[in-house]
Amino acid sequence: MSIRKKLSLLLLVVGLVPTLVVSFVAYIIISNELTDRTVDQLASTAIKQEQKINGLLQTKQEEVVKLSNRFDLQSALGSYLSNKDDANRQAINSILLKKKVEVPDIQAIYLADLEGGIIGTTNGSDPSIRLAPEDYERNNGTETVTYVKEDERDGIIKLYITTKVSVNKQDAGYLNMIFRIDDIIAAIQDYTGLGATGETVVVSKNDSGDAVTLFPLRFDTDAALDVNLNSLSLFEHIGAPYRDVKDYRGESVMVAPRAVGFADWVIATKMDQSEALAPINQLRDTLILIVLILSAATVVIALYLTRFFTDPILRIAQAARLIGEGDLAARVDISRTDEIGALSNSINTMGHNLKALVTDIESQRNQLEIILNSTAESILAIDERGVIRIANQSTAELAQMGLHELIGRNIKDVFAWRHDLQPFAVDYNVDGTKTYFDLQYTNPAGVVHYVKLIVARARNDQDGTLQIIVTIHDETKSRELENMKIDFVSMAAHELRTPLAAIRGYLELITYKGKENITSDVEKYLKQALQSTAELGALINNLLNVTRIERGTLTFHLEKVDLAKEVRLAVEDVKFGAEDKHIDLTYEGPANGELVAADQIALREVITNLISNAVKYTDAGGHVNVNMRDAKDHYTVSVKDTGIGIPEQALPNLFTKFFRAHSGLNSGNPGTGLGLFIAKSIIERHKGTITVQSKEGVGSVFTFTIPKWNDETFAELQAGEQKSESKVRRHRGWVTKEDTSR
Amino acid sequence: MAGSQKKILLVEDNAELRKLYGMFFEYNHYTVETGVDGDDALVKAKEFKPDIIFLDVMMPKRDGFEVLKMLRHKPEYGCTKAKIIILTNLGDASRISPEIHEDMDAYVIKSEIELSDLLGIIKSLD
Repeated sequence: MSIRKKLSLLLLVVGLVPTLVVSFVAYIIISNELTDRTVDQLASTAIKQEQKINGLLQTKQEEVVKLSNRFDLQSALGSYLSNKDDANRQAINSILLKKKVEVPDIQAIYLADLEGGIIGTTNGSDPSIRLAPEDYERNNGTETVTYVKEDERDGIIKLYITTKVSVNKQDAGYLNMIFRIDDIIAAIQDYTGLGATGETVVVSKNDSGDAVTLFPLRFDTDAALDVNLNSLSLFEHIGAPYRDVKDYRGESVMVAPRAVGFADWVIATKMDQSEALAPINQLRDTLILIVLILSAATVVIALYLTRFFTDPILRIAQAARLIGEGDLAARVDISRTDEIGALSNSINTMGHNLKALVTDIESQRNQLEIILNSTAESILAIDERGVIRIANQSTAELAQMGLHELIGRNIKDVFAWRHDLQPFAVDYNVDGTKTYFDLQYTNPAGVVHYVKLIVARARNDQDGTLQIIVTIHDETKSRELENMKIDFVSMAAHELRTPLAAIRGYLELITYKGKENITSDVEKYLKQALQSTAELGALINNLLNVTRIERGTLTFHLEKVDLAKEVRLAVEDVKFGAEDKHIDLTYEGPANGELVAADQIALREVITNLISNAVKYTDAGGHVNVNMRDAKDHYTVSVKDTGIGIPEQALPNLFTKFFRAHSGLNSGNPGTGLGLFIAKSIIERHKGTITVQSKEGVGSVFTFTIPKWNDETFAELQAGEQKSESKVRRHRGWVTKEDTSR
Repeated sequence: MAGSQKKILLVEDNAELRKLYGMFFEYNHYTVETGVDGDDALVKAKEFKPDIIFLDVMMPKRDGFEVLKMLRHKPEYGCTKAKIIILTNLGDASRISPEIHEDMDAYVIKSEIELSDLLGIIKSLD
């Protein structure tokens, strides 16, 4: 529900509810008051009408009673009863006639005997005129009987009053007077105070107990004695006005009935509800009108107010939406000094700042883009699923794709890595930073790139999304350079060997062929030259071995080798040289029978190298001790000397290529700095380790381990080597097939 | 002398080594013929019928392994029974396949041998 609707509704509720409540209460109070008043008025009118009609009836009754009590009538009746002659009848008639003349309302007077026979009348001698017997029967006592009846002769409703006449305190006959009731009808038809619909109704019960109207009704002048008003239940509510009943016309009316004591009648004033309650209805209508007008006014005010409040809010919302959609130039045009004005100012300021911020960010992004695109490395940002979000120009060049083509694709679809010629799956979802070396990527043109891959993954603290940055370092060029270097060294070494072999050969040939022609001095020089060529040959071999290690083409011929025997023989080989230098070279360990899986020549080279080095760096009078121990699943060989030692800072780099702890020129000991590098490579290829402990001026201990022979070790090592079916045993320099049989 | 009757065919493209080894063998009373490349080796083998052949691997026209195979398996060269010793460089050893092992009698790594080793090999093959 919008604020506009809520506000409108609130205003309507606040504005209308009190009005409605007040109106309703006022209506209830006033309508009750009005009803009470109307009922009271009706009741008082009923009292007045009853008094009036009662008075009229009483006057008439008194006439009858007065005449019946007159002595002249009683004596005339007595005379007649004792002597029924015309004279006596005439006397009665004249009394009656005289009375009729006296009272103009009287239409006729009859005197009858107790059986109802007419004795005297004011209607001359017409004997047919007589009272109906029932008129007398009604009078079952001494009381005066009053009733209304239609005169059969002229069809006019008249009032009949009958009373008894006594002669000498004995009932002797009935006196009956017939009155015109014009005065009563006039009283009934006086509708003063009864409005347009009110009337006075006079009813009496007939023989069957129905309430019959005695006089004409206001809206039915022929209704007298004819209309049954029983439904009004008039006789049951005497003295208590009541309302909301239906009258003879079917109208809802209010009624105030009263009893007319002596006549057993009921007089009721009644009025239509519609008229009686007209002021109330008018009040109700007025109130409804007021409520409607107030409602309309409230609605108008509510609409205006909500418009006043929500219109600027809607405009602010519109501007905020536009800003949110990227239209940072959108502003709110409201110049007000209230809170709404403050809000719109805030929105405008926000838009302004946002625009400045975005401009700033854009310029930073441009800078970043320039930086990204000016680096040689390929840099990508990917999301959790591996979809490329950002990539630099270098990436596009590496993948040979347009940047737009690249972005949105999955990195796995673009870069298929290989490692050692096998497909390699890079896990881009590892936490932290992970570096993959020596991966190959073949671009769409078929060019192979050697790369280093760095995957850096971090979770954004703010929204929890993953940020994965992939850096591809193309090492193809540097690898090519490295290969060129290796190729050059390899080629140079190869080319050096043949002339070296020739030099050596000729030197040998001289010592061989011309021995007798040369002096002992020359022979010594020749031997020195031969020694130097041998060293040069070893150097060249080491260079070649290094290039093979670098290329991974150094292959081993694995076999069962007796390590103890190899160590012992190596010690013996070097022994003569050591003795020349006056160095005490000793061996502690088994003479033979300790088997390992190894390339015999390579292993011998390592051992010889370590012992030769020890001898080389130990001064005369020093000691070199070679030790071999059994250590559970492997053997440990250590070469300990009392030589010059190795500076502490040189130890970490001791096993790297071309590294020498002491400058060759200073120590006077020549060396290539390749021996330990090759030794380490060889030992590690045999799943062994090589370590050094040394103290400058005290000596060094070189220790290597190599796993003991068993089928598993052999199989494991063999799996790493190219299979060779060779059964030809090799000696240094030359090999024959017969060696295999030894 | 023991080797005086024996004929050695020395196939080596490097002139210095060819001359050196040739001189050395002649000095030790072998009859020596030399070849300069693979094709030459085949021609000389057919004419000379050597008892012992020293065969370099890296040669122009036809390499030593190919020559070895032909000499060993083609009777027209008359060398199926000759002792054939392969002259290799250190790196070539890894190229020696089992088939080559079958065909040859021995191999030497040129840079690692002394001249006297050549005689040692010949004697070991007797």
